[in-house]
Amino acid sequence: MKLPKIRELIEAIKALILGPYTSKFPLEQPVIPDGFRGKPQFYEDDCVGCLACVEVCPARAIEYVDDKKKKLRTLTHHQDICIYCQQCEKACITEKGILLTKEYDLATFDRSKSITQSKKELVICEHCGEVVAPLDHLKFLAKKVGHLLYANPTLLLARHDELKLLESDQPSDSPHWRSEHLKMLCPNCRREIILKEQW
Amino acid sequence: MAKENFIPIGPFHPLLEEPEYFKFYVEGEKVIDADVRIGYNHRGIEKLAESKTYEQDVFLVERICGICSTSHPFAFVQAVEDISGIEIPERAKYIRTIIGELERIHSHLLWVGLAGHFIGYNTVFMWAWKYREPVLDIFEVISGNRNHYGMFKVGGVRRDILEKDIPGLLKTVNEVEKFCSMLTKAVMDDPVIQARTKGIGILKKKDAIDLCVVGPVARASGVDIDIRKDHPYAAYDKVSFEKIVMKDGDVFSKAAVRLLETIESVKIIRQCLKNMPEGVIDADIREVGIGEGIGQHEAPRGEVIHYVRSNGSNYPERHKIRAPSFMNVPSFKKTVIGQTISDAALITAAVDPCYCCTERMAVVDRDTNKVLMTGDDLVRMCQEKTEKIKGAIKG
Repeated sequence: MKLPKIRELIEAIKALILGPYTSKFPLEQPVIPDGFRGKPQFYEDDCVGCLACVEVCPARAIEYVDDKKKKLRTLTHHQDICIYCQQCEKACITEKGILLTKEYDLATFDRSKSITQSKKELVICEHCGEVVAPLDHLKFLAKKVGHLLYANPTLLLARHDELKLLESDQPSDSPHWRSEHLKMLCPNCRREIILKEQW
Repeated sequence: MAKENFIPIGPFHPLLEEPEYFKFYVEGEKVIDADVRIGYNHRGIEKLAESKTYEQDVFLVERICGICSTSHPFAFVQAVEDISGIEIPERAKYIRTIIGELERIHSHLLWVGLAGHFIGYNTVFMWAWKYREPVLDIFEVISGNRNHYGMFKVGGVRRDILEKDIPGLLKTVNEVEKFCSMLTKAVMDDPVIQARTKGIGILKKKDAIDLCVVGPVARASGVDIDIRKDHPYAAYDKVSFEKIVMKDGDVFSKAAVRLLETIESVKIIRQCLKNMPEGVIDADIREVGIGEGIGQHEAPRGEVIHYVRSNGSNYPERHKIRAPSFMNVPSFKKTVIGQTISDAALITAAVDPCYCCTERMAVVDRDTNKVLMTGDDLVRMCQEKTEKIKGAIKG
């Protein structure tokens, strides 16, 4: 009977001297260790809109909308669905497109504010109007493959404004004219033109 | 004949993997029969797992349970590795063991705290939860989250424990050990707690074997099972620790087993941190073969088993989970009968299925269906009994 009381007394005296164990939260911010998995943030300059993060997300918290008329791809990350697993950061092909911050205080009354977005310009197939890829994604790949890029017209055209290799060809009315090769095409149309080209 | 009343409990238990519904038939204050039903709140996790890749499934199974959120991925990744006999790097094995044991400490401390609250001993509640904080801080340093650590992946672990963190971790672990042994003594010496829990809700060894209970519930009844010793996995065959087995099977033994296990867990963590070999942490698995596999892990509540069948694609073809509480819940029927209502809350709590269940308890008159008592009343009754015992001991 005595021993437990003494132990409680020691704890009580310790608590008196050291003060309460809990912190005064809003006044006193907690120490966040390195590597804390907080709110993910899109960085539009480094994001290329490749959708790798959409693919790996276990909670399907990242959605994307392609606007073919405006030629715009919008990636939206929803914090209220996110499980903060860091898979998007690890899957990012540029390694800087989406990063987890140390932000943790995410409670909000307005759901529409709990998002982070990345808007990327889209390349549209000049034949059928289908989505090819975001321009930044093609440029990223073109830089990554090096000289192999000259074998791929889509990638070559993506860097055309920098390299200035090609002169524009005279227009034609046949859909399978050879010069159509040098247009931005989706894989299906490119296949069709290679098979049925005329000159 | 006295009017027969019953107390319904449940069916929703947000703290537990399997929500259940209990019906305690009472005669006066004594429980004369109990009825357990499970199967509410079916979330379809096994089916959902079939529509996600193995990488994504790890995060899904982690969310089966919030408290033991490592035990399910632990068993799941071992099941997937079992399919084609994937060997994981040594360092990953040690990191897995550390995470599994840290979780045991925080889960057991949480239980002790809540049990203390239930018997009206709020000092224990405050202590246990205060000393649980450093464990969660360790998790935050290692994994980046206080809960739902996301450390496991098929073929290894996702994050390494950095060399610069280890001295700090060892220091915190030593502190945790001090707290744990202090708390163990505090709980086991205390005359009030002893009077309140000894000889209550006894699960006999034979009943424990017949009902196939697992984990601390079985070990408190003298059944000598612990998957970490019986069928070692990860780094459990490379560390020395003791299997805690008690004979009595009452609430006190269940508490003692859990408290003594926290100290054993600290020993395992310290050995792992000291003996952890250098090297890679991920075997970089590109594909899972065709076949089926079983993974086991000794979760804080008992042995959890995952079964996965693969057809060679990215997605599991069949995924089956057996959580420990599924085995432990039927033991209520043996332990509660013959006890008083004020003890029933404690006995159900001792199995560690759920606490919030008691908040949904209500005593209902069978004839009129009128609620006689709510969950708060039951907790109050439980606490009043402790006060009475306290008074008796002082007097």
